Amino acid sequence: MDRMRINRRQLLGLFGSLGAGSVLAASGIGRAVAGNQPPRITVIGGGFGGATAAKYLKRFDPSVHVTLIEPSRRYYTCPFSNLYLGGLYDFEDLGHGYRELARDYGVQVIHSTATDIDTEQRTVTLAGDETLRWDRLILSPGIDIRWGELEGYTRDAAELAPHAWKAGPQTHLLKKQLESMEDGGTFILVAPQDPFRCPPGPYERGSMVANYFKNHKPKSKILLLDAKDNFSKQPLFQQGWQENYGDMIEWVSRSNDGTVIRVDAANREVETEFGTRHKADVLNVVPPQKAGFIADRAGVTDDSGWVPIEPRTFRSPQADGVYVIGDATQAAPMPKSGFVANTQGKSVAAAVLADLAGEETPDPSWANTCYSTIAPGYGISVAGVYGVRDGEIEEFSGGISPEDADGEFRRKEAEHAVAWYEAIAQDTWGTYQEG
Amino acid sequence: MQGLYRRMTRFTAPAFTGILLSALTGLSLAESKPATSTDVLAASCANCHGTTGRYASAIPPIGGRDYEDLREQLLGFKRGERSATVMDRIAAGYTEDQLEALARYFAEIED
Ligand SMILES: Cc1cc2nc3c(=O)[nH]c(=O)nc-3n(C[C@H](O)[C@H](O)[C@H](O)COP(=O)(O)OP(=O)(O)OC[C@H]3O[C@@H](n4cnc5c(N)ncnc54)[C@H](O)[C@@H]3O)c2cc1C
Repeated sequence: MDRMRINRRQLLGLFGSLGAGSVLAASGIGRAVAGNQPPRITVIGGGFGGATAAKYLKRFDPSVHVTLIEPSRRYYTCPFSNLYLGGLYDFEDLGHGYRELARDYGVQVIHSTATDIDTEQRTVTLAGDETLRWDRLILSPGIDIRWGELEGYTRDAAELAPHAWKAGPQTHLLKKQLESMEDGGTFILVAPQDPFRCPPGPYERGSMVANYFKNHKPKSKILLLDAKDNFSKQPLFQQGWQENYGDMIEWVSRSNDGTVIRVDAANREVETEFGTRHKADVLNVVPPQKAGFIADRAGVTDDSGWVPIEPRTFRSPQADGVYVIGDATQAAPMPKSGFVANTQGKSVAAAVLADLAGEETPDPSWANTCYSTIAPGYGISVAGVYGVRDGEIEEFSGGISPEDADGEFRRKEAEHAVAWYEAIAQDTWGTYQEG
Repeated sequence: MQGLYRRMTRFTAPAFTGILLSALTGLSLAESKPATSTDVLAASCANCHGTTGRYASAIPPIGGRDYEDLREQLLGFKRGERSATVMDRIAAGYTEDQLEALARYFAEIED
């Protein structure tokens, strides 16, 4: 059934591209006529979800043809970028390349941006107008910022008040601003409503900025203005802040007028729902977000800006042959984390291969452990195991580190955070070696 | 404490890449057979323990270890009989059959 549909589509695609005089015609003929070419699976985005999906497709079945499209030659992770801000990690240690995927797994890596997707013709257009054909498409494009959704927070504003919610130049900008701030200054972080990338991220960031201040600018203050009334691992963070930083960090909940509704980046000033103005020396805005733009181009987003998926397969119900994973998706109760995106990369690889073989999707299973480093040698975590029950994604087990744990427990979790980072880098990009 | 965080950009050294890779990537484990539910389950473990479960760090490796030993530990975590930082919270989300399948999967990985 499925095979026939592919062939019909390929033929349609072939005529379509001949009509358009596209460069695709030749490869289309080859496959449509011979019918025995390996299926082509294209993955867009070489972050936690996409790089993992590409690797595990080839691990599970080396015979398929896998193309990974990612603009960067070196991908810098958001995970541990807070530790860079806190002075615990070098930025270069957060960079990962694609050599293992290409050389050891035979993934074709193309460093370019996908600019458009045609789900009828099953093609993707790259910057520079090259067009590639796919039989199955996996999108893991991460997030884009909803510019302007928070009044005053535009692309230009982000050059003055960085978000640093994608690791790279924004992270450097924030670090530079922290370094040039005078002792006694105020760092303000604006935290958004759910859903957003990395639920504990803003609070780990506050912790790591506090670590930097404690060592270099001990008279400074940290104000976390929140559009929520509670947050991930809240009791553990608040306990850890008290233990490590005294009253340096103040968290203002939504009910206490924490919701920021306007940003004046030039003056580093924000205004809250009930009209309070706060002035910062360094202003860090974690803005409202949505799925990466290419998901819109593929027609797989809904009104929320995120991508609905079929739970067992992560197939889009809105476009044939298109699968979406990672932060871009609506996969609650799973959080938008790198750990989760990685495990979704594996389940989607299995689902796509089963689909191509006309077999049942193996039961999916996902996991998460998000470590947060509150201070050097002081770590906490939230964990979860997820699966599908009665057609819905459910959390089967999980929870946060015990609130009454001793210093030894927190030290171990700080070590496990580092070990986790290395292991997931090994598993996703092959950066570190096993054995 | 700094020792915990200083990575010294160790993986950018060209000499570091390419060592024994074909032996380590474990491609041979999965040659052309469709992924099973156990493959998918086990793949979640790779996140902290490495692709073939042998990443050695503060988190112990699990690939190539004795089946009985792995089984006992996993069931112990699930039942709350073994103390852990996070494995008790994780093991609780799997059935005993799944934990046994995972123990077998990682025990069968060759050194
Ligand atoms: C400060 C901070 C700390 C965090 N800490 C943790 C942590 O400790 N643990 C954890 O698990 N998670 C953490 N996260 C979350 C984690 O970064 C994300 O959940 C993860 O990156 C999601 O993976 P993804 O594959 O969906 O997207 P990404 O990793 O963002 O990858 C998307 C990739 O797609 C590429 N791309 C986008 N559009 C296109 C296109 N059109 N064409 C080609 N390529 C494209 C991008 O270049 C990018 O490389 C943190 C996030 C932040 C901001």
